[in-house]
Amino acid sequence: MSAPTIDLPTSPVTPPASAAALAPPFRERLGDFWYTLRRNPTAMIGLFMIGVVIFAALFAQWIAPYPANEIDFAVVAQPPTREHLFGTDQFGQDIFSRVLFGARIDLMIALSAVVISLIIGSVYGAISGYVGGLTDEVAMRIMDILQGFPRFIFAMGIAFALGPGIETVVIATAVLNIPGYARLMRSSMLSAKTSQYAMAAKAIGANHRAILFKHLVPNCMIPIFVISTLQFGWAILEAAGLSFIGLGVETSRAEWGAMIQLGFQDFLQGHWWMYTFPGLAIAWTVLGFNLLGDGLQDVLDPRRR
Amino acid sequence: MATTATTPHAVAAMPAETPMLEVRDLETQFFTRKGVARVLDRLSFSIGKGEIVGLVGESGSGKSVTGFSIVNLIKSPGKIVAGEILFEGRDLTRLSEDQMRDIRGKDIAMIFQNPRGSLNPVLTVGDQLRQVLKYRQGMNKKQAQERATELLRLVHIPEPERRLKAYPHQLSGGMAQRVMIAMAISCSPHLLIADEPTTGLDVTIEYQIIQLLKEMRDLTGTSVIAITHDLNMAAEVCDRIMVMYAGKVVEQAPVLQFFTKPSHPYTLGLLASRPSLSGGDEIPTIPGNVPDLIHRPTGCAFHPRCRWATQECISIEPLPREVGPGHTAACHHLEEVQRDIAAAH
Amino acid sequence: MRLARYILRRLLFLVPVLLGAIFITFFLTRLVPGNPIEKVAGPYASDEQVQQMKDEAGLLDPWYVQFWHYLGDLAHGDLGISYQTNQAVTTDLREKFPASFELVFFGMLLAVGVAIPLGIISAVKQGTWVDQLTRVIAVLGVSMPIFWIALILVSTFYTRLGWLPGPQGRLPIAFSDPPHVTGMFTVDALLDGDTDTFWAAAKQLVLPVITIGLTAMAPIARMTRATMIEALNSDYVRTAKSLGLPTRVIVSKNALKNAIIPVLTLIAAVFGYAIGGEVLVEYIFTWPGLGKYSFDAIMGSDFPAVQGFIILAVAMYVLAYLIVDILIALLDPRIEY
Repeated sequence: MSAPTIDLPTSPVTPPASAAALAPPFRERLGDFWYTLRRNPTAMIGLFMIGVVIFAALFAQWIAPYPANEIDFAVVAQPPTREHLFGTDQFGQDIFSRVLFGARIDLMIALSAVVISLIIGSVYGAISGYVGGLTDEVAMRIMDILQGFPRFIFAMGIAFALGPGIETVVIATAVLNIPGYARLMRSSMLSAKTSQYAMAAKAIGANHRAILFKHLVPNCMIPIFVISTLQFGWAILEAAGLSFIGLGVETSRAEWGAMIQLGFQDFLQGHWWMYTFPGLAIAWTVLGFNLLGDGLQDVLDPRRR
Repeated sequence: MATTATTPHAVAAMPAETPMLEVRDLETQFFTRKGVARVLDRLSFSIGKGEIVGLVGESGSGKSVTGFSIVNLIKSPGKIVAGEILFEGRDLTRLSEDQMRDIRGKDIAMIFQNPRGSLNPVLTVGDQLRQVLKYRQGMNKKQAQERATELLRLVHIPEPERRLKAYPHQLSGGMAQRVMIAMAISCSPHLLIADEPTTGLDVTIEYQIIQLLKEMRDLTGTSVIAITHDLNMAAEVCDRIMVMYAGKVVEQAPVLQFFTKPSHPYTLGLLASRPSLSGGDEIPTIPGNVPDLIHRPTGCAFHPRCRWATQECISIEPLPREVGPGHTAACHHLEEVQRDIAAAH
Repeated sequence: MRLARYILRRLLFLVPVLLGAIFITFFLTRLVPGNPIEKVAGPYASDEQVQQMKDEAGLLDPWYVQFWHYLGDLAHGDLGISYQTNQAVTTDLREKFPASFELVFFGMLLAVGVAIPLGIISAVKQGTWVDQLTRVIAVLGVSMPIFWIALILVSTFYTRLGWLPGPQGRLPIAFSDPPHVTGMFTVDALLDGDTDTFWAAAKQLVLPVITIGLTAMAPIARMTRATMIEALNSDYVRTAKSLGLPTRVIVSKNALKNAIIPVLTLIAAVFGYAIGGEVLVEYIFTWPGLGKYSFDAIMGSDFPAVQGFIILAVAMYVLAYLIVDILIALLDPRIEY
């Protein structure tokens, strides 16, 4: 039952020239990523919604019909009119203008919180994963404890300790987001340590640590981007929540949560516009980030639809 | 078993007068983001009653898709777009989902590769067997329990009562595949499609599973389509072998003919790349890759990888030609191929 | 017996989380700039009086001594005396607990009761309007601030339509509390056979429960949909289909049992989120529960009360995880215990 053998040429496998050759072509992957992302309607709607908010934040000075804090007792608590699209609050401040200026404060808070937690969390996670052993174990157990807190309660505790203010909100929200980044960086570090290119780098005698970090960073970029969009949404919600109960930004400032607090003070008078519009602004922004995050996850994991 | 089994059948490879399954010009396509992949390309073949037919080819040749097309369980974005699947006189492609569901399990059953993953991890073996017997055979609890035990005994699982209480993760791969076979034959199907049933199992277990498949055929007279990339296994179990390439049958022959007089260049490549027990140096592989099914090669799909290819192969698709009794091959250069083989010896 | 050992092992894992929480809480509350004693003593107290009160409260000791005392007291179930109510914090918490429990319990019940069927249906009928609806609920529910949802619900159903009572706590002023059995007014009123009070209490519950339910259902529905889709595309469901099992059996027996396991863990996490959201909800609905209590405590720099609340919240959260862990161990045969 033996078959006649025919000599069929085998194609030789070219050996990798260097460790760099084994590294995934990051630039190319990013290009592919953007290409598929552009075809994802969810992500694009999210991006558009965020774009609107960023536009409002950047150009509030020029778009807003009134300054953020122009008190005018002649037009106190007015429902929406042509002069005041979203009505006025109990100090006669124009709510439309305040919502626009609010985009600045809220985006700044969220951005600062996300950047702080990104830096602290990533360094923490990368070191934990690199050192390994007992240190890693203890470090991750600390993250468990942080995540063991119900999020908002923890934020309240921190805000309570620090006293009201924008910095307080930034710090309270940032601390909550550290574990997410730490875990991501740690697991990326662990896989980078055992990966082919780390081995190859070692084999050709390159600086192991340098290579590790050089490859770690591009590999983490995309998942970090995804986590960050979702963390942005969380940050805005939590910041607004803290301001609403008076532990965050003072009600004198045009911050969305604080504006809702002002509206709540007049709640029983039926002045619905005072809290409705700032709330819509929050929902719009957070929805934008969540849609973008969803779209990103779809793109990264096509099985999820 | 004997109570519901159909008449015990003598082992006989007879491409019968009226085949039990006849596939005609079947086209299954996958509508992917990058374009339409024509995975099955006007595929035609037939299976006789009680016959074990091996469906061989590299991964990506469309073997498994053929199996799933027959029972209409192709995962999206795959779809049957043309052709007929005549099973005992009925065209399966025209049946409603409800009619099709009634055929699955009772008339046509399947077993899969990765048997442990194919069993439900949170249900016991007994739950899964009894479920089939309850909903497909209308048995009550007691009957189902008895029959389940009997089925496990039939596939040579020791201590069946204890195994019924086991969960899939507590079984070895071979044991899990036996359970799968027990489930598949529980409703005495007329056709059993085994999709790479021994992949991932070690050699001795593989042999036992193959023997079991043969035994089940002898016992129940069911026809079997054995999908595999393992020619040794096919040699062991099949009456007839069909070679698939790029969604077409390129050669089919009774098993003896197949190994003594392989005719299609692709078959020769497959046979040459078979790991031999005599050891030796390297396993020669067929150069090149399975073709891109979105942009299929013109003419003969194998021409980019074929050393006999000529201008004719690039422009004209070869039709199956008779090589011997029940033996066909689709190639323009059968004669040259045979001459070169003779010269090599 | 093996299950008991498993529970013990899970507890060993969760206790450090609780201890860590106590430690962090202790430090956070010591960081507060506003000195609570001065607040309690009032503006007319002399410096000596303030010093003496601090001494009595043990606030002049080094931090580790204070922490040690605190842990010792905690072990005896003593969380200190609230500066505001002058009652033991444990007593306060025990009094307030049923009100919050009633809210969170019904809120989670609503969330789970709606989200899981919705997630299943949308996975089975992917791409239909039910699916679209689920996806909209899932993404909107996590995008809207919970306190804003509460305000919109109240302004619509109370201020505008007048269908439901306003945010005035657990019962309208005209009613008196039902005799205390469980502390949940609806249950106690029923036990008392007082249907009027039951309906009044139930009506007060509707809006806050919907608020909590809406935010909690979003992630649960989303997760159920995702895990259910995964299960329906799995190899074992393909096997079930290849055997011709009826769709309803495949969905309810083969797929759901697998899909529900990760959802359970999520429910524990959402429960923690609900405890946090509850602070905001109770604040808006003037609901005399733990959330309102902790809010007042924060505003009044009442640290024993704040600490007590946070520790209780973390303990509840840990307990929820433990219950879920046990459920999963019972459902998933692959978990060795």
